[in-house]
Amino acid sequence: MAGKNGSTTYTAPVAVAEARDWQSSTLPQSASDGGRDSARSEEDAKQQQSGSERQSAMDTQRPSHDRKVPRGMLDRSLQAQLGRQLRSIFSDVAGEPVPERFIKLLEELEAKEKRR
Amino acid sequence: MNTDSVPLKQAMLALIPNLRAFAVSLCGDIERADDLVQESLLKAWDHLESFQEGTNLRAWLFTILRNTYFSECRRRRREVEDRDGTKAAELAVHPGQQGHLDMQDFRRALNLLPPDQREALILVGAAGFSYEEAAAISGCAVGTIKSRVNRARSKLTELLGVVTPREFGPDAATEAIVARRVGGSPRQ
Repeated sequence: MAGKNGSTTYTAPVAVAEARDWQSSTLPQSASDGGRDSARSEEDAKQQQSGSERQSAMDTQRPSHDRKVPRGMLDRSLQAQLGRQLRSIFSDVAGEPVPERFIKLLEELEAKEKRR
Repeated sequence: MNTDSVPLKQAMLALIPNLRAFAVSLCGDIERADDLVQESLLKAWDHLESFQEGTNLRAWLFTILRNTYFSECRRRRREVEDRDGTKAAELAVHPGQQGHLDMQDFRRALNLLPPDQREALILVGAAGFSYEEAAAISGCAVGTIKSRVNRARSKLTELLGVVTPREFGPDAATEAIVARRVGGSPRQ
């Protein structure tokens, strides 16, 4: 079972309480990588939700030199663009087929399992 | 072991593209990412009994991968800090064509973020986890995740905030593009 040595520390966050939340929300999507679109809309909702928080964080960092275009518009535009770039780094790789080495790895692990 | 490992293996296989995407976004290097994925799969396989059936396998695997990555980071901390110092000096913040943020610049800026902030941003902003899920994966409070995401966004904006009049200079064409992009009409 878990906890027999130091290498199982990653099990700690998967406490029963959190696991219950995960179970209901994202498990059905996790069997394929088709969850990305809904992930996207979740993110949009979150961005709106945290918009004012984020805005105030940026107010402290950016001096008021943007006279021609309102600062909020620039920031929203930039944030949207950064969001797209972040998602594209992720989804570019998530869209690639599983490399052969991992298919082999899992086959080997499974074969070892059966021999036991 | 038990017979459940067969469907679980298929589920793990299906999640490998997601794990690779997470690993690449975290470490910025596809070869290192694949090594991380490999190590994580081995660990996951060795500890399948600690996975609770019916819970989120994706979140569980992400947790293993991020812990693998962060313990590796701790081992190479000094080296990483040195490299980041050099990278910071090299980072180009010049705009690409007409305010389009160059993807290379974006990748470099992402790599410049403190790893915990980068992780939070990726989990929430790209992998589609909720703040609560991201907090569970990272083993910290929800408020910590929110603040890391905010700081990550501010830092990226600072590093890549090239579409501001100050950095572009008073260039009317640019401002028109900026205004159009945000859905307003160009201001005179």
